Amino acid sequence: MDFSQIKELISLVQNSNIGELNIKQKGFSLNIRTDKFVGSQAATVVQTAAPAIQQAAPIPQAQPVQQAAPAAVEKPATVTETKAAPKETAAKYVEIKSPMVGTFYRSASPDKPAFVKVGDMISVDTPICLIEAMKLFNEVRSEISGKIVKVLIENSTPVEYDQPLFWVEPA
Amino acid sequence: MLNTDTLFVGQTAIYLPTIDSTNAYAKELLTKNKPSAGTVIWAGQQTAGRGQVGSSWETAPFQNLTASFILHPNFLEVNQQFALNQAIALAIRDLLLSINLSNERVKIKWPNDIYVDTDKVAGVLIENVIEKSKIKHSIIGIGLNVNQSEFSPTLKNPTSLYQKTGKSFEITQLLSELCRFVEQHFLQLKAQKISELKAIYTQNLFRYQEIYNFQIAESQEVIQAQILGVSPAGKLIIQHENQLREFGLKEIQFII
Repeated sequence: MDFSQIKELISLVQNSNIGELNIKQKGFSLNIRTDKFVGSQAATVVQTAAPAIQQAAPIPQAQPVQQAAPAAVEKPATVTETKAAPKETAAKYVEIKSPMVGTFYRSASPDKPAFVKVGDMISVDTPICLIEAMKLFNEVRSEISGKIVKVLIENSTPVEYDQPLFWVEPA
Repeated sequence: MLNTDTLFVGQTAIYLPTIDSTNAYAKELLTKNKPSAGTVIWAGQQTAGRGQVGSSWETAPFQNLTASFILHPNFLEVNQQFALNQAIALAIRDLLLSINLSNERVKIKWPNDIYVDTDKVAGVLIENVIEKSKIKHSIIGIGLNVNQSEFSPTLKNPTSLYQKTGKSFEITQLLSELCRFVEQHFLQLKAQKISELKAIYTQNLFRYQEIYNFQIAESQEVIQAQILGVSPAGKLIIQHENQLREFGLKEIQFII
């Protein structure tokens, strides 16, 4: 991840309701917290996950780390390189990525409900979004089963190939 | 019924006198049954035909050709899908050539409208189902104005075969012929002859390599430029003052 990507991420997070975002890639981890971060209640990312799985997970460290953080409550977005626990949270989810370049739509047409929303269970072959490119409309179906925990992109906005679209907690 | 000597396109044909949209019907069919490749759904009258997101396709009842083809181009990568669009545009072009409209008059207006002279006679709407980064199913909706003699003045530049030739046509016969051309070009695609398809598509683009006015959506600026081709993703490549520029669908407008 380069500097401009990090910058872009920060502004994305700032303009969302995300309180805290943890990313872990090979040899790199990133933690972004915004003024919406409210300590252990940073449920957006962490605790919407099925509690059962969290308890079963060998490293339930997300908890202590977040409780340690209430000092950060009012802080604007800060970026800290972290080594320890938070990475486990993001690692629990599987990203569904865009198979193509185009415009992302959450429903088949403006008058239809979204294919999926946060909390929905999806299975293999569930339609999850529409991507339009050059007047070709592509209904994208899921390759995995699980629960949608986050929609990472706004309706009717451009997507790049391989850009993450959803976070799914695998079933 | 259709009388076509094809291998598969049109061998199963479903005629619906009145339907909201043949594409929607085809999609429904895909969720319920396993329609065989080449199944054609066609209608006498579409009550909610669609163009692009939000825009509708207006057509007078029983005078025009409205059909959807179900194909399974699972040999195509998702990022090659513009080739499918090119194959279909060429199939419609072949149909028009077969009724003696000349090569000079029949053009493909990027990305996939079919023009006779400077008027739109046909449109295409393709809907794919993507699974595991492959195109599992494709629903190809084609609307061709055939015998309609008058159009709503709200439409920009519509025309019909009747207006352009002074003749009326049997819709079933046109559709049978169209099945043949769709199959031909689909098989070409399957044989991975993508560059051949692209070359014919490019040569027959409306306003290809001629200087015309275009309006750039973002700046509203009108420029004089010429079309040089399309990118693999389907973007329009134009030359403007010794500069090559690429435009997506809503980024540039032809001034006709």
